[in-house]
Formats: sequence, C-alpha cells, structure tokens
Amino acid sequence: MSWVIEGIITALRMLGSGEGEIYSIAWLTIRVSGTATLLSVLIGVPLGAYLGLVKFPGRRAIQTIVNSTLGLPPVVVGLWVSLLLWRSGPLGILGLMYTPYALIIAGCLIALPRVTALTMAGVMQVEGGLSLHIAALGASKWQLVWLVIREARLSILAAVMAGFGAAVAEVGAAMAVGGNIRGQTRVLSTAIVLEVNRGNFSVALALGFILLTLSYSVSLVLTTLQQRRLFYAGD
Amino acid sequence: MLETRGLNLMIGKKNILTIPQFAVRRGEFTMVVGPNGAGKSSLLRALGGLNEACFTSYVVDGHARRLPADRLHLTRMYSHVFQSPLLLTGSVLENVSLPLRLRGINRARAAEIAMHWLSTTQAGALAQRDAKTLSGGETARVILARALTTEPTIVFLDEPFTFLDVEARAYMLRHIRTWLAESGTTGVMVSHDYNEVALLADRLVVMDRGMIALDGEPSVILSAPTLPFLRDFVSLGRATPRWGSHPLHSTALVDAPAGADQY
Repeated sequence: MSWVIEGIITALRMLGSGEGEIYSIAWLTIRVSGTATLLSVLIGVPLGAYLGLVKFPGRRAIQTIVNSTLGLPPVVVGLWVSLLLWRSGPLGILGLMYTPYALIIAGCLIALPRVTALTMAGVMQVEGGLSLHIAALGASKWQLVWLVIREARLSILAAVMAGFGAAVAEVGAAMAVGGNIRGQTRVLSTAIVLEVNRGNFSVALALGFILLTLSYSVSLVLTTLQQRRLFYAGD
Repeated sequence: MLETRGLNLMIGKKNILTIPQFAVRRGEFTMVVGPNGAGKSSLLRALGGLNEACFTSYVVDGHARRLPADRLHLTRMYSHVFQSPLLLTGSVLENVSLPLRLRGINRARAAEIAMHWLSTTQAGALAQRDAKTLSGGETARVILARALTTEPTIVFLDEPFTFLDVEARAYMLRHIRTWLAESGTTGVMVSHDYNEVALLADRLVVMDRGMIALDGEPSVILSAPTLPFLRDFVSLGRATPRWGSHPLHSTALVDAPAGADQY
C-alpha cells in the first residue's frame, strides 16, 4: 500500500516541480492518442454506420471480420506497421519510422476496430425501421446517415472512449514503431515500461497515475458530451 | 394527380403486390382495407417510393417519374404516417421542424411553420417537451403535425390511430379531414375499422393477396359486400357502437357523414 501512496506523492511532486520532461511526455501522449482517435473516428464511424445500415451480399461476413479485429493484439499491429514503415518496407521512403507519426498510425489502427465495431453495433441497435421513418421524412442518404448516427450517439461516444482508451494505453505497438526515444517518441505508456525495467517503481506508478488522470479527463469530457442534448439536424 | 401502371413488388420469390393500374385523385380521401397480409402497407410504401416496387409507369401531375432515381423527390412531395409512430431524440418542436430542415429551410422559419401545425393539431403546448415523453394521443397529434408541415401533396396514413384510446381516436377522426384540407393534402389511409371508413372515405379500395379486389364508392361496396372478408368487416363494424353514440361518451364525438348509416 505504501507503494501506492509513494506513487501518488511522486506524481504530484513531478507535476508540481514543473519538470519539462514529464509535461512533454504527457503532451505528446495527448497529441498522439488524440490524433489517432480522431482519425479512427473519421474512418470508423462512417464505416460502422454503413455496415450497420446498408444491406449488401457478404455483409455478415464483413461484420464478423470487423468484430474479430476487436481481439487484435496491439503488438501484432506494431509489427505490421513496423514492416510497412521500415526503411526497406513499402512505405519506408516516407521516413516515418521512430517518429510520432508512426505512433499515430499504430494508435489509429488499434483504435479503429473498436470504433468501427461499436458504432456498427450501436447503429444496428437503434435501426429497427428507423431508416424507413427517416427516409419518409424526406432525408437524403447523407442526412439519413447523420440522423441515424445522432440517434446512436450514446453508443458512438462509448466507441470513441473505447478507441481513445486503447490508443492511450497501448505499449507493444508504441515500442515497436516508436522505439521509446527520449524527447521524440516517448509516451506515458512506454515511459512506464522503461521505469519498471529500471526498477523505479514509484516513478512508474506516478506516470501511471498521470496516465489515468489523463484518460479520466478525456472520458469526463466525452461523457458530458454524451449526456448533453444533441444539436439540430442539418446544423 | 398520381397515376401508376404495372406496379409489381416481389420480396425474394414471393409476389407481394400486382396492381396493373392505380390512381390517387386530388382531394379525394381514399381508404384501403383488406385482411392481414393483403399488401395494404406495401401499397402505401410503394406509392410513396419507400420500397423496391417496380412500375411500368409512375406519373405525377402529368410528369413521368422514375424509381428509385426520383425517390428523394417523391419523399419530399409526400408524407407518411406509419402504424408505429417514431419520434427522434429532441424536443417536439425539433421533431416537427425536421422535415423542413431536411429540405433546407432555415431554423427560424421551420420552427414558425412547425408551431403553426402543432397549434392546428392542438399540440402547441407540447412544443418544448422531450418527444420521448409523450403519451400515445399526444404522439399521434405530433406525428400528424410533422406529416403536414411540408404541406405534402399526398399523405399516406398507415393505420395511424390503431394504438389510440377511444377519445384520442375520436378527436383525430373529427379533425383530420379539416387539417388535410387546410394543407391542401390528399389522404390515402389504411384502416381496419368500419367506422373510420364510414366516416372518412370518399373512395374505398379493398385489397386481397396483393391485388385490388374492389375499388369504388364506399356506400356501394359496403352495402352489398361480395367478399368473405368484407362481409365480416361490415357485420362486425355494424355490431360495434357508432361514433357519436358510443356508450362511453355522453356527447357526440364525431358527426357521422350523411348517408353513413346506409352502409
């Protein structure tokens, strides 16, 4: 128990000292996870809505694939992204390996299945004839998709939270594609692993508390949004 | 105003509708009756462009339309009231304004029109209420207000009063024709209720197994019912207390139209 208290005290001391490195690590974590989540939302929400709404041959097979990607190990994602971004890989020419961009790509690929699958489930749950009613009101295809997404907003914001949670907490892929380089690609999760390996448990715990606080703050914002009355269609 | 030819609807290998010719005439209140599974709801959706029905010809006011290419255009000309009412998240006013907002009308103007129709259907006081908290009767009035805000050329009503209690149903029946007249809308309504037909119909369409079995004056069709379904429909309807003399109500709820008793 003393480890926990010591960890909290260390976390407060690190934050209170105004030490530049902890702030830059936390800021990079927010930027990387936030951008990765945003990208996964831009791709995953329309994709999930499409898979939940539109009937086409083979839809069930694709839905099953999307659901099965929920169990995708992040380290496997990291491996594939590494192979793609490696100097001799197909995207090696871009020089993204061991940069924050590589972390964003990996984070996005880790968050994407969660955002897509949970959006799909949310849309399917509210559907039940909803699109017929909305189409009958004179909605175009895009207006229909927007209104269905609006009706499924609780599930979709849960999907965004799940996506952010996965991206921010992920270690394996961040290590593989980022390399945990100090001042460049060190994020909170990889910094924790480093401190554990060094035996600095109180520092690792302190970083863990900062990560939890960060994750809680983002969830708080999203939960507030989730409970708020929604804006008007077309606005 | 709407003339169709060669209406055909298949779901899988099952033939749902086969209607060689059908027309909706302006200002005429058409009522569609028939046994369960006769294709009444499918007919309404087909005419409104909401299902996968095929037509050899679909003409609106002399202009040929193609489906599904013109589906959006048609859904913006017509309105639908479904058997199971559905209001979206938000206030009543937002829901009733929604069809106008979808057509690009600005928020203030849409709210103004919506308020007019909410007041007309005696639902003005509900405007700021959360739409998900309304009773059945309130929902029916709001749904009808929403259907009329765009002043559609035709409103397709699919058993709109099924889940209403006697009083709410009587209220709607008493006023619906006035509201349609005010918005210049023609009504096509599916019903299972003899009294509704006796009260509202200018024209009666009887459906059976995806086809139109009879189409004509209600008084003619109901005075000499030729189909087994129709005989039951009439005899059960006559056995039910008439609107205006319902034992639950001390005052007349609905004035029966002249000649309704002769059916």
